[in-house]
Amino acid sequence: MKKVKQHIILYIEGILNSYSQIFFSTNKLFALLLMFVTFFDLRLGFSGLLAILIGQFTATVFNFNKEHIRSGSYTFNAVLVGIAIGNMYEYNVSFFVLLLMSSILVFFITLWFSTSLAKRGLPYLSIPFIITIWIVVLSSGNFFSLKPNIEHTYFLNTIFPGVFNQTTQDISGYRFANFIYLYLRSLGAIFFQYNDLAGIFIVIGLIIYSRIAFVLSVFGFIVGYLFYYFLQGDFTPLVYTYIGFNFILTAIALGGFFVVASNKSFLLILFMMPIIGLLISSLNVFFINLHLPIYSLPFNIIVLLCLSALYLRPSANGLQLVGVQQYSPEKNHYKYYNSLERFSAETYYHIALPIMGEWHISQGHNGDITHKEDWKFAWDFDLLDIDDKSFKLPGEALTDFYCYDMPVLAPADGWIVTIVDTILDNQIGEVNLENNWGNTIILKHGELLYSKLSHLKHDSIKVKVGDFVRKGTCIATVGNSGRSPEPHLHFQMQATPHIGSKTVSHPISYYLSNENELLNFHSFDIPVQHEVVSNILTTKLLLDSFNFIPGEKIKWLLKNESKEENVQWEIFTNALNQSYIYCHTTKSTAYYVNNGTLFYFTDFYGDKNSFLHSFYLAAHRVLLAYYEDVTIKDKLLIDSFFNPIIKTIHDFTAPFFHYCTADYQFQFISTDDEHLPTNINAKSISEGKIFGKKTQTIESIITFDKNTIQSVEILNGNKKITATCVR
Amino acid sequence: MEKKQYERPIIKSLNAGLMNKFGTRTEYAPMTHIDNVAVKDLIREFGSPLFVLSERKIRDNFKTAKRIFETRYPKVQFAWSYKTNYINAICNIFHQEGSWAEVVSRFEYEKALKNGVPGKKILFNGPDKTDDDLRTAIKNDSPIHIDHLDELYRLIELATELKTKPRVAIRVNMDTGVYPMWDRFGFNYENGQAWDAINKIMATDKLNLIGLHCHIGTYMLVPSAYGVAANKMADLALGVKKRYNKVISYIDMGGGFASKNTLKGSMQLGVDYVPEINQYAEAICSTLLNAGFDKDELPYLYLETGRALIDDAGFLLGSVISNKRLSDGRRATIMDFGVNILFTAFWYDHKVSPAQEFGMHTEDSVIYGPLCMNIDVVRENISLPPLKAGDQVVVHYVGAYNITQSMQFIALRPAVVLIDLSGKPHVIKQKESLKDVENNEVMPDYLKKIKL
Repeated sequence: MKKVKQHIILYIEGILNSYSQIFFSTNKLFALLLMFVTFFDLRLGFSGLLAILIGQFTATVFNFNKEHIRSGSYTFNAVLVGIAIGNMYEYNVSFFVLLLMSSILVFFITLWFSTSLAKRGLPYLSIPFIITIWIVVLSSGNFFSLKPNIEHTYFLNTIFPGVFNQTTQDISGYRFANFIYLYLRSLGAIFFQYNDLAGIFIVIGLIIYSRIAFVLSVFGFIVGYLFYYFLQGDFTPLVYTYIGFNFILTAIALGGFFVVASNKSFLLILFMMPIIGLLISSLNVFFINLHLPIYSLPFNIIVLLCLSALYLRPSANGLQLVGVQQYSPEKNHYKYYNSLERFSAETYYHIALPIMGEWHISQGHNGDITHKEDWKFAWDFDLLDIDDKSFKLPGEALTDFYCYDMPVLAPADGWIVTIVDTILDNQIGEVNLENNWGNTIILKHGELLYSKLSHLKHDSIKVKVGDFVRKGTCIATVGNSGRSPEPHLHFQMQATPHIGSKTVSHPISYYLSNENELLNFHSFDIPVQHEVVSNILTTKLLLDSFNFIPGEKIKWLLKNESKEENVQWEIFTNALNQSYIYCHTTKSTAYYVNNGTLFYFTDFYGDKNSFLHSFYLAAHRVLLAYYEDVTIKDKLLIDSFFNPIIKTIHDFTAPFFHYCTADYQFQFISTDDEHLPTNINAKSISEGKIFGKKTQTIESIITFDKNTIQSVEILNGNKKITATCVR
Repeated sequence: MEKKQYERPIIKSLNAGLMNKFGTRTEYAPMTHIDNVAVKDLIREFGSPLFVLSERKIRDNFKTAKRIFETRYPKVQFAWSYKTNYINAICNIFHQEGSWAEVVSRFEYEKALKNGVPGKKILFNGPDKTDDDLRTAIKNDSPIHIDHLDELYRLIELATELKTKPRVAIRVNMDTGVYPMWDRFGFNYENGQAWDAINKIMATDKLNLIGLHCHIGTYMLVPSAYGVAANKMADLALGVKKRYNKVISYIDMGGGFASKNTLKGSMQLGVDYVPEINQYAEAICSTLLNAGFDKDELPYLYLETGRALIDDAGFLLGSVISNKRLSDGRRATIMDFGVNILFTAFWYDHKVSPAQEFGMHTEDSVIYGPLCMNIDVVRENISLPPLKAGDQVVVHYVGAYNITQSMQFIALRPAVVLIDLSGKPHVIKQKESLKDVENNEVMPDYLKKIKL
């Protein structure tokens, strides 16, 4: 029974999505509005719906992926085909035979294009619809039972003429009324509705779906209109031949859906709209002779051309293609800019400092002594005393230097690929220019990523070529071999396994810098000259607390002033190895990453009033190492923080600038034992700012105890929730 | 031009044979300044004798030791051994540097609390802890290092009474190949006493075993002994993990690192044969790192280093009272300081430098203290330039134990001065007065009146 219900829901979702997908959306409300608009002419609406059902049936019979049926991606072309045929022919038996055949045909064409274009990373848009319609139009001349549809008998206009006329009249009072007519009717034309009321419903749906898409549609349409105006073309016929919407769809597709909405994407639209105009004119001349409508052909051509060009760029600067499609220009936009701030560097392989304790960077990248030209991305390490000397007096012997013979660690897991261990250490002040790198170890961490440690002490190397070493293993000690007048450690990353290879710029994943006894946390940063740096020492209690295991169930007891509530979470890992917490009670999902040094959330889907969402904000980024006075900072997604009204208003201008920002801060407060904590208290603060002014603060206290997160206390304004982990 | 100093003539036998293998030069150069402050000025201002400590040297020593350990082992915590030198100003220098406190008596414990050290960061060592001491330590959540079974049983009773779970460690003694073995403190490793104590603690569930402590000796000259000790400690810690699935938070390796002082009877000078802290660190850290601990369960390494961090930061300034010739013809120099304030003179041949320029001649001499007691000998044999009454000397390596072990015997104890990082002297302990000495004396009424 449950299974049947699930299936029905799947097909209903599929039907709705088939409508909203035409506007690149999966918004259900938008879908209902669009569906309603198609039923302005009952015949059109019905044939559209029927086409979807036929498409879904075909997909089911052929056992295609159910999720594609749900997303509507197989059937949104079918809606258009159904409506278009309904618009062309009268209902009779032949009509339904034609509808059946063309709905099956459009499904096959969709399949073929979806796979062949996917290889190039391109969408198939409404190409299947156009091809199917052409086939129908070209063939129909031979079938005499098909009657052209002349009277729109079941059109609501004829039933309720008042409503439609009133709308048109109301608009005429506005300035730019003519333009508004054109815009609304172009939107309506997507569903073969040449009236203003349809346009108004679609606009409402569009704004509900995406403010950015709405702004883009208006912008694109204006640019197209002005282009015709300046070149003294006639724009009006475009609308009633169902062609004007090409500007709108292209603007949404390239301005915010496939490309991240920004001022640059608007600039792209500014240039693309005139090209659409050119295409419409030229294609029209050609196809009119074949008696074929061009419908959305210009939109398809331009979007595909433009996306191909963006894919083929040697480097992805400026315009950004959307990586993971969120089916919303807003989400695509916010997610991209948030990721840019949060994770732009985290794609790097994790490389730690090759030392233990606090060391001084005596020369950083682009150093003024030897880190130049091809070898500029390197670090030199040494140790200093309170007088900033690297040696004790008299400083004549190697052993007078503090760093001499100190352990050198593997900066990451890797294979030993090259070793030199035959060069004697220099006396102080002497250099060996012949074997300038001295005793050296090169580790391979992956293809095109090697690390090199040089000037090691003669005979101190503890590993052999071919060994696999773990991060943090002591592999040698610091020496004074090669071009090294005094003992120090040289460390660099390179792309090839050779001694003398060119260096590459690569950050250190996580480390602390000590500035006058104040520790600063760095993530994916490059230590600079004279910085005093150390690796991060993780804390077992925190590691254990965040060590969520797939299948693990976590129960919480929530308490606020008035009521108590139980929620249950479960940990899952998906096929892409992404881990997430799923809240059974609120059906919400929060994706997280735990890399052994940090725990952080990457994504949230679901109920923003759920405790999972509060936890998503509270533990947005947690350092798994207890350090008092070290502050971890992060940025929150705007839509996960502000209330819907503020956020909706913000969306309209979001592509150009953000006046709403949301910052996150995390800090440890106390522990029972700083060396082997069994209890830790931490505090995080999320702050929303509008035009730099603080408007909302959420404070959370997280208590870790007995290897788990014991409780979370959330103070949002004057609302207080306490969540206790129940075993 | 400064007036040349007068030096009395000396008669010295001519050695016509081969030269001494150490040459003819005197042992020491004069030491006229400490951290750029003239010895003359210090004595003029604060009197003679006078203890002087260099803050710069203390901080340098601490940072050096910390660096040496932390660049070899990721989890290191120092605890300042109060008995080595517990003048509050000195303790607080160490606390400012991040050191915890290690105390061996209630009096030291109170001192540490008063200095602002949180109870959690005071390690309570030693064989003598009264019930009241233990109660206080339990209430303050201080790690208590258990020395014997009686203490262990008392703690179990007190824990029941106070309804808390005290955090404890046991002191372990062991054979590290160095004799005499310090087996009077704690539980022996080899004969199984240590395991017995651990089992008793784990069986009660009244005590929380968080650490293991050892202190293999004092003035240890063999770093490898620490490697042996660390190995045995790691074995216990891993055993606890294996048998009870309990992670030991720390291994306390105690102290005992030698300073640069010269032990009596040794052939060479201390500076030449005493191991560097590096060598102790290498022995301990490499042993612990390779012992087989889980990456996330690596125990903290606690160190109670005292002597090696402060001995060379302390100087004793004194003046010559008189010269005389002994019956056997040897020269004797009588100083205004003796074993009453330089207790370590019983086992060290302290280095003594004149505080003013001197000529090229030296004379073998005995240095006596001012006490009217035969035992008051500072150096039995030292080669010194001819000194005359009023000349000043500097005794080196006196920062550890002398101030805490000094006696108010015959004479009053001198002031202690700390030279800060900018070279400014601060009195950190006033010179003792008659009032101080009599402060705790009580005179029965019938004895108040005397008539002579």
